[in-house]
Amino acid sequence: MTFEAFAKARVPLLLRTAVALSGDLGLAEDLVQDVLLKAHQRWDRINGLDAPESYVRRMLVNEFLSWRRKWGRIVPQDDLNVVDQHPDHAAVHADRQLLRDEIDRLPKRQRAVLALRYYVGLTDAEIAETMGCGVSSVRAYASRALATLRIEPALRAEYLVPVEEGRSA
Amino acid sequence: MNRTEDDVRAVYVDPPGIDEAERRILASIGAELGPITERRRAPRRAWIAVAASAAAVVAVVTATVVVTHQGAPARPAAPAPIVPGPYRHVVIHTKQPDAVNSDMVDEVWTSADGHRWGTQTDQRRTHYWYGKDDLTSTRYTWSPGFLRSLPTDPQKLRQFLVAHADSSNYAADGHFVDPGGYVFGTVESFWKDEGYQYLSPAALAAIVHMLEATPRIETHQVRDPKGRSAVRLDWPIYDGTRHSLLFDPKTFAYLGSAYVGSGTSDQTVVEVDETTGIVPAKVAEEARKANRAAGTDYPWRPPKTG
Repeated sequence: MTFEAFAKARVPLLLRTAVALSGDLGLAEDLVQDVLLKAHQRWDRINGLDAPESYVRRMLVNEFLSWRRKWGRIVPQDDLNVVDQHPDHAAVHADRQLLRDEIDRLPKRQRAVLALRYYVGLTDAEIAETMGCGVSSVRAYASRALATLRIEPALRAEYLVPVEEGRSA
Repeated sequence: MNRTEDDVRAVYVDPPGIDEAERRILASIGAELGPITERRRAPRRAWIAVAASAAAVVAVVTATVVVTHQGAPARPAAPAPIVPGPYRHVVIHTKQPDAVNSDMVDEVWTSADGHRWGTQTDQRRTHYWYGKDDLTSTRYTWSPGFLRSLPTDPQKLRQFLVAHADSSNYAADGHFVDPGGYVFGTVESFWKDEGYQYLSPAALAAIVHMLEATPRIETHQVRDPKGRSAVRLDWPIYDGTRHSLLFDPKTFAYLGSAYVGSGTSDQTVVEVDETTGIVPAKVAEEARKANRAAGTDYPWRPPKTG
């Protein structure tokens, strides 16, 4: 496959993945362009891989995680502002935007896990491979992100006991 | 507000203008789908020209980074208290061969009350930023309040971390799944999220001893990329893929981390960890400008400069 054919087939999903990761179309466009530039320079090697698209997606996530611009320095707020519930359609849209804003304030690795899990639809093992970390780290990032977003807020207080090491996987 | 995972999925919708962005990208690499009717943003650059000059740019900027840090003072022999002086100054060098910004240097000055001024230098330029940490927050495992509250006894530390694990770490029958992977991943996230400046020396020692006693974690005596003697703690994943954390064997100061995988790797090295009385005037000024331009709600506070 030529690089041009690969790009034509994969740019739509790469760009949408970049939007899901970054929450910003302009930044997503820059991310994809930079990654394609890098992929173009290495295309002979990438094209020989079993799954070039997985490799380029990993490059995209790495690139996103390495972009810590000033707008990426926004520290997540400890107590997020909770809007009152309004049972109408406008409120549904407002809630969605509020959630998007809260996701954008998460640490980048947590945002990446959410995007790869809930937008791209990868398994935790695939996310771990994409992000270059362990499955346990993926789950830790996801659970912390969901807790911050008040989707999985409950801690399991009943398990506040020492861990039995023999159960280690 | 009752939120579900479906609400998260619903967030990821195409923004207006994505089709035009798609066409611009394809046009820039010669695979244009059709006529471009609008250019919302300026063309980024000439594709071929950038490709041809990339190596030269990398060489120049990398050389600049090396020169910048040649004169930097070495890490102090004894571990510093959390933020003992006016500022804790840390320089972290990250290499990610598979990322476009494959060589990056972060430099941060942190005050005792959580104000942070920083720079990030990549192949293109230096970015300046300013932020403020809420030192009382214990909401997240990487927040300053949580990190400052870590027990200094290894066994109690393990219990503390497990106690703060959420339900996703438990199987249906109630047993804790993969405790070794959980504690390693949690500790690793202290650094990935740049929170380690809030760890006390005693907590660092407890972390190392806790990890050393964790099944499947391997301990090696090595030298880090700067040639310093180090304890390397490995969490093996599969087929030789591993995550590593490096610590000073005497002070347990954090020296860096590494990931070695199939076809990808990254390496983080703490090059400087010291206390200082000032923040460079240029950093303070540029961070102030960046803070203002970003429109953040951080209350700007000027540091002592020099």
